[in-house]
Amino acid sequence: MKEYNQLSTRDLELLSAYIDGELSARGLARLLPRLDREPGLKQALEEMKAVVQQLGSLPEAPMPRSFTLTPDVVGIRSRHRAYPVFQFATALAAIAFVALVGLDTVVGQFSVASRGAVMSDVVQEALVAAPQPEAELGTGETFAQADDQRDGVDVLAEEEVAGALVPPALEAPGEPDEALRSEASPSPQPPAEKAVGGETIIGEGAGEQPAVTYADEHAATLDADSMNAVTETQKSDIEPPGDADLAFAQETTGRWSPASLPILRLLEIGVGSLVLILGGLTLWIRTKRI
Amino acid sequence: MDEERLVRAAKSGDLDAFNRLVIEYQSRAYNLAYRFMSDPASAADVTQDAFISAFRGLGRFRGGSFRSWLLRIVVNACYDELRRRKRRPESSLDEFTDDGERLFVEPGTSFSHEGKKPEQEVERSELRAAIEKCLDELPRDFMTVAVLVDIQGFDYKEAARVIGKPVGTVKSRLARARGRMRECLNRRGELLPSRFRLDDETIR
Repeated sequence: MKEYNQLSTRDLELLSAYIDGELSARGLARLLPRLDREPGLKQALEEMKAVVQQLGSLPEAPMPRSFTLTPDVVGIRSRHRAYPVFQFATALAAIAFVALVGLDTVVGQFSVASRGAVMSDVVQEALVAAPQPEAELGTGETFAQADDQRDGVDVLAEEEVAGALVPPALEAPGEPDEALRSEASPSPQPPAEKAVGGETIIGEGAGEQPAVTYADEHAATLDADSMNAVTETQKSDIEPPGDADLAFAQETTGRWSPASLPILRLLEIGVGSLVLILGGLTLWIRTKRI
Repeated sequence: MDEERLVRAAKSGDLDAFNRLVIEYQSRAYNLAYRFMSDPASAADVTQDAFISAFRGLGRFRGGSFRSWLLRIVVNACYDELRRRKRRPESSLDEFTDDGERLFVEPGTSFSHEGKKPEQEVERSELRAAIEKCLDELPRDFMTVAVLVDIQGFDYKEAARVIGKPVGTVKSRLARARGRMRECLNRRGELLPSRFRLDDETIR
């Protein structure tokens, strides 16, 4: 009979795996017939089972103490109670800020597009409105004809005005004064071109010197009454600029004042500042542990 | 217990969440360390160190069984401590009396079994001491798998994860550990009460 200590390592492994139910089907097919044939192997199996049973019967050693960790033991200190609150508030403010910027971008694009359309309408209206007094004066020339007579500089000036998005309404009120001042000028000009002078004055900002000269010369030939009529017509056609237009104009011309900022922009600045303040406080609280 | 959630929270520095995991596994961890170290004080120190290492090393835990990962740290801590002792042998002050005499605390004698007859308690205690002594004599690698599988009830796969070896290694080490335990207990068999002897009569 084979003694326990005479078993090969392979047989020991087979028996051990068999006890734990970890033996493969193939190993099982090999072992079971041998257990029937070899009493020593069967005895070894029973002895091994007894060992496993006795090991499993060992009671758990009672713990001398709890092993839960304290902040001091692991070298950390708990964060301040307010930390999660500030963290949440910062996140919320940041989200609000991003939303505001997004809203501002969308609204801004829409506003620029609509303002562009309004501006071009105003410019066109001003262009159309200007020749009307000439017709009343009996010049017999249309605005288009007069326009043909002008040199390319005037056309360029108009394009630059439209391109710079400077509303003609801003310049229009000053136009009659300019015309009246030029009334004293001795050089007579064809009446058909006089009213066109109103248009060329708009191009003053663009520095078109020939246009200004042209306007001065032509405006001098208008009599005071007809000029006043022209001015009134233009004033009635072109409404005075609103606050939004002024703000927009100031924006586009680079002049800035706090009052000119839209509410949305002010909100952006406010919420952005809040995000910075809250973020700073959150970081500060994070370092302050209790 | 939502273990995954607790592990995630602990990874982000939540010590309370980690302590809930400690409460869940501290008994297993301590018992594993106790089998290695054979004395309660050293086992407690090693267990505490293992939990501290686990908390600090949570970032390296890549999922899977947290229990296996934790007990692997305990096993490694035990090996480290045993290696350190081998280099610098030292005696614990707890093992000496006021007179300077060394105390011998038989492993297992501290466990009480209320409701048992005194003679039964003595027999059981002797058997337990013999098993623990035999376990202690096993090579560490063998003892580890024997403790994990036969005492703590792990299956081969989880035991393999704890020791970081293939399942085949676990099978082989376990078989040899059981074989050696049998030899050891037979050597001490004369000291054991007859009904605990692993001789032919008791087994059949």
